[in-house]
Amino acid sequence: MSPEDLKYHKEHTWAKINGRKATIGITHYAQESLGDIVYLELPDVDTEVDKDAEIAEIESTKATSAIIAPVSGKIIEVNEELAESPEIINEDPYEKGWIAVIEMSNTKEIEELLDPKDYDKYVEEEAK
Amino acid sequence: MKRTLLYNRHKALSARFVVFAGYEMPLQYTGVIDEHHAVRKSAGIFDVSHLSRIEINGKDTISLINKLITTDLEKLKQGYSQYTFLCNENGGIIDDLLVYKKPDDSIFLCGNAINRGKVAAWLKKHAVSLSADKAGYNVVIKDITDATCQIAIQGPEAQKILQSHASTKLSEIKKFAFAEINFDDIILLVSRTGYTGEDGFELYITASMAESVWDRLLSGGAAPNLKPAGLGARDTLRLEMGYLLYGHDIDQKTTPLEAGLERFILFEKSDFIGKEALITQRQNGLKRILIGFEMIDKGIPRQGYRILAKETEIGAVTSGNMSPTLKKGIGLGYVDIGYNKTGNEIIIDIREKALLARVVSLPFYRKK
Repeated sequence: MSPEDLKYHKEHTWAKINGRKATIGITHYAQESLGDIVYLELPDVDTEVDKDAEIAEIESTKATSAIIAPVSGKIIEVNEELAESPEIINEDPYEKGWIAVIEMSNTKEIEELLDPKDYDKYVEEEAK
Repeated sequence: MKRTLLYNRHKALSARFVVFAGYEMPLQYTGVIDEHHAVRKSAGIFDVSHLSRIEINGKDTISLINKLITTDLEKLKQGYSQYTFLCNENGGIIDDLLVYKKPDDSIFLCGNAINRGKVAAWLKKHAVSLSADKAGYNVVIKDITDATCQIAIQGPEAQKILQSHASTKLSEIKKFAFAEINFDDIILLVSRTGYTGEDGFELYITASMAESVWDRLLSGGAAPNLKPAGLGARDTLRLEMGYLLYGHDIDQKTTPLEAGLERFILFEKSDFIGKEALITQRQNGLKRILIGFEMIDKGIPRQGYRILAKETEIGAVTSGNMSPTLKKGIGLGYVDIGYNKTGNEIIIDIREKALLARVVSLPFYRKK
């Protein structure tokens, strides 16, 4: 179900690895559980982020939730379009709904992330 | 966990559920914003069976209830309902509800789900304690919540949709009026009331007919313009209107005066519980009052967030969300008197960020 070319964090974020760069976003499961996303507090470019730590706040009509960084490093780009149209994340969480690009400080962390198959299994368990 | 009589219908519509006041209720079907706009533009159908429904009969009904509510039942026409408060001796709100005066002077109360037991107990207690007669007032108090289902159909198309099933002429039911109608040969009580700011009706249905009425509404010819809507949209719709939600914006520690709803207190009426406390509070002046505010900075206020003026804490948010119609963060909250003037700029502490907001007059949303 989840795209083949991505790696997944148990806090429902994904990372698309390209050399030292990781484009990140939230998964389909996350956007569906959140419901209508109405606001995203984007992180600032040049911020250093740690894996497993909060990188941004996301608001839906239901509640506020934290977005957890799947890898450590420096934010080098954010998806400014989400500031005006956060609903893009609901519509297209894996492509147009990307949140930020992180320049990884430790590419070994990738090994700790889940493959699509394992993430799907994990979600299935969690949904029970 | 309680479920309403329509639970299986929600399940069939793939609703996402939320626990509210002990009920497993539909939060949303297709999405909160989608359902919200449907109600503003065409019509939505809500299962609101969780609301409390209490009937009071007997010759002393009007005198008893009039001693407990802040509005005046003597002035309410038969066949009409009004918004009112039940207050305790301190003027604190026990429940905010709609009181219906039936043609035979019996009374029907529709209030908040969480207050159901409390209200019934309060009525029973005072049916004895307030009466001059040792036997108590001649009233029969009957909780009919579980024996009935309540459906709200709200939006500019609501009348047309409901009319396609009813032989009674619905345009003759004025705002806040209610009547028995013939709905596809089922006799229902219908009121022109709601919690969305749109025109619309609430239907009170015998348990055995609940699913049938729901199904007929959603399968009739006008059905394409009618969307099932959940508690999520109900909350954003009521918030845009500045309607209060018990347990959030009001509770036993707040009075109708502090909530800015003095127009629902009939001070000239003879005694009612809470009257003295409310008079005293009005004479001494309020310390805090409910305001509506909209965000100037980007951000969404939520219950519990602090409200500040410069660095000074002046209050707290009691409800907040993003307004799907205005497309900005809006909220309700209490502030110290002096900071409540329309146009006044305040700070909302959103996760340790001081974000600017402005006090606005309610409702947030006015229909064109």
